[in-house]
Amino acid sequence: MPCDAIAVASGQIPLDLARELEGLGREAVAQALLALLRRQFAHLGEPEPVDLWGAHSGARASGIGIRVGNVLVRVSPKWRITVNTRSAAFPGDDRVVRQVRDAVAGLLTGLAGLAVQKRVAQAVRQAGHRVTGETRAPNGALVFQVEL
Amino acid sequence: MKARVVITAGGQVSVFVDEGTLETGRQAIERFFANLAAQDVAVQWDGKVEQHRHVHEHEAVKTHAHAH
Repeated sequence: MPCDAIAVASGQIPLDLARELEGLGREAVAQALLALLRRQFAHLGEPEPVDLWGAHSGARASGIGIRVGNVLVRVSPKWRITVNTRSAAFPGDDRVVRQVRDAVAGLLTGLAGLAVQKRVAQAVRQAGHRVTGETRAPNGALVFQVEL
Repeated sequence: MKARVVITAGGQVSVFVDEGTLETGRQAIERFFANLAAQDVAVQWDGKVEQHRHVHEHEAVKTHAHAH
């Protein structure tokens, strides 16, 4: 970002993954996860949504469950990610599990980042600041031209 | 007062004020962050405002050029 500004200040919004993802909605996040798994892990097979069941209660649990090959991805209602094999692990499954877990964590963090950008953009407009331009920088940052 | 606001995916919010003085820019930035807070977007900011345009240097060069 070229600077050359009269006054410059930077601050940080604490990134609350759960809050931001909640704002996006569970179904939207589940669809994004399915798309990610289809794209990056096509060799494991077609990912399918699965119902989750409480380990102790046996009752149906909320959250997101997706099965892809021998791997089960679970995202709890509090957005905690668990990835493991569904049955006995085959050689190399530990590596696949790690790759899937990292990809899922990366996606959720990225989605939370987009959500926080959207939330700030809405707040800028709702606060009455006139936005005269909006672009996205190559690094993913959202750039507004505003009247303060 | 024209400004640029940059929001990174990591939640960093930077404000670049392109008009006025450092002091009016500071006031505008304070108002801006307060307005965001009123909209439930709390930006943690240490209150520091920097000047990245060397206005006096540019003016000095311009004055020098005109003197000749």
